Amino acid sequence: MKVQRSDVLIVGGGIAGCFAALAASKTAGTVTLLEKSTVRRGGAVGPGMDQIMLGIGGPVPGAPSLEDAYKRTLADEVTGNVASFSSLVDPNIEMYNARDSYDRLLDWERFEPKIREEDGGYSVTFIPERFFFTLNVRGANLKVRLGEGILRIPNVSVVERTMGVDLITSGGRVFGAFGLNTRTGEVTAYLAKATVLTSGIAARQYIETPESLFMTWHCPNNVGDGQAMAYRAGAELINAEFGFLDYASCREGGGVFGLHPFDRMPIIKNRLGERVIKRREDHERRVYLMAREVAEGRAPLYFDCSEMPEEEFKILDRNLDHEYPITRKWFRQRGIDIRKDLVPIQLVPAGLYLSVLSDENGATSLGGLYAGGDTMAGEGSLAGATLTGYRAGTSAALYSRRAEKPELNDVQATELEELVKAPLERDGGYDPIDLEEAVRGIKTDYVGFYKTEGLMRKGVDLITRLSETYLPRIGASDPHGLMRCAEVRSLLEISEMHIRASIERRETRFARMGMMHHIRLDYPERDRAWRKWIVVRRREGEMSLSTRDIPHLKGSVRENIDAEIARRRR
Amino acid sequence: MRIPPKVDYSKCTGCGACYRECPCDCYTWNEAKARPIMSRPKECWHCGICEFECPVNAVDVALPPQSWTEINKRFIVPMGRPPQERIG
Repeated sequence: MKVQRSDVLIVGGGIAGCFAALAASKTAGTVTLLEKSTVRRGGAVGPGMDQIMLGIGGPVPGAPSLEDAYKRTLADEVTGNVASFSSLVDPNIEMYNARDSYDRLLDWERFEPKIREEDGGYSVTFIPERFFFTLNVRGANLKVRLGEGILRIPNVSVVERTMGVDLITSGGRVFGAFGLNTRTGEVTAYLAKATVLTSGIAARQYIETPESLFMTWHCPNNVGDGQAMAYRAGAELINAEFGFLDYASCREGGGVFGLHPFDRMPIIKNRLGERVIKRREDHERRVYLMAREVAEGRAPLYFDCSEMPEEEFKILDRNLDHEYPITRKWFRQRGIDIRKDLVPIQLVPAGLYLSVLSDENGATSLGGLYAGGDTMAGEGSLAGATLTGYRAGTSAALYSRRAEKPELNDVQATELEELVKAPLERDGGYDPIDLEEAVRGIKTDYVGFYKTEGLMRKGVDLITRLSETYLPRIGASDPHGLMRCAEVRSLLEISEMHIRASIERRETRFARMGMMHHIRLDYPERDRAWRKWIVVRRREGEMSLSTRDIPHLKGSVRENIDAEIARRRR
Repeated sequence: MRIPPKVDYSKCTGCGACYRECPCDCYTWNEAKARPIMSRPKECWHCGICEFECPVNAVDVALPPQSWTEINKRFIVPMGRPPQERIG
């Protein structure tokens, strides 16, 4: 097997991976970045993005300060930086995100000056209901500019069309990852002193539209490869039970209607033409309320923009050219004039919150392994990816300076290569995409939005059988097919984690938040005793579940933030 | 009805941008004719990247007609009244 060495290896070249590379390149000698597609277009922001959510605004007029966020965290409230939640979020991560928020925005601006308006200022939308605001950016080429910037960094080596398939481990420590080139089929051992996982959310979990496989709000390259790799290496994972429900106006590009304050957003209407979100306080849980309309038979749902204030509509209209700009063409195809017509929306199960358990610096439970972006439990979305990705990159680079020289585990290398390439040997093997459809179908029917223990037990049983029967029989006719086979292997493991953790959490949580959901019909109330994480990890080849209390604010983090607040006052 | 991106070969210059950047690697490359082929329509995400990357507007990405519908399917089961009073 070919071996490539570097100080820091980053698996996944979306926003988080690029920011990890940017950070690591400053202190590490050499950095390697693996990306399944390309660094210019890879990841969920590849087709463009219209808004950047921020918690702390630096010099943005009227924006909350670090001190405000600190007070909120100390008061055990929502700090609201990006999409944080009232509980089950590590406050240490929230505080560091708040601290770094504006610095990462400045990093962005080095790559894409169009984050600012022509006059040099920002276009800001404050969301009074939530403790954050969004910048409206002309971001159709946001990822292209970032990717091109990363390609110019001399000590970063970008390896495209290469997916991470497994971590290289020895004695419970991580020494890099095996990468599969999806065009040549070659498997390479990317040895590194420190490794960062930034391969994105676990999407492709449910059937959103039965007729087509990859129709997911999220980038379909995000299968949760990183989470599955970490799981197989023995790392701890959390939030496997929580789904992410969002609304989409066409199939993808769900957020094109972006974030607006309650009284200035498009009105959400049901089949009867009734207003779904009636009160400001319901704005936060709008996705949950929309789901209820569907459950009670009042779908389809629509956006009505006809009463939006003109200035707000102009922002929305401009944003359409920047977040997945293809969407405008689709509205045209369907004959929809968003100013006048009702715009159909549907609720889309966009993925899982499954993440590698990491601390505020991105360190996971395994030595030498770090995680950032949606691969870790901190904050999702674009801003969250810059924040946690950057810190994971910094931490990995620091670690690499004192870590020993990585060693290749030859036995693991041989076994892994055989496993990954085996589908090529199977003439007439089953199509991994068909297996994926079956898994997603089972989850859709046996787990779904409203969960019950009986159905979920049946579901996990079916998935285990499916895995035992068909995973050893999937085939590939080319290297590209090997990628799909590797993905479905991860997808099956993730599905099992999702269902087992969903059975374990005997309460309903985040129903009010709507987007992040775990709704049990048999345990329909929130239970304070369940204010803890369910930790999933592999022990002696078996999936094991345990619980863990949410950490309190650490002394070291308090000291750091106190010092930073004092510095900013000066 | 699958509606994969269509390449208009009368305009295509064979620059390879779509083949290079497609996130799902749906295109392959025809060496003999030096042009892209949409080989994996089943895996297209309809993200529009090939259309935006094409310098001569030779690629057309259209929305599949079956997704002109807007009714949620399967994931949220119509179930009368879920016990929402007790949730949250």
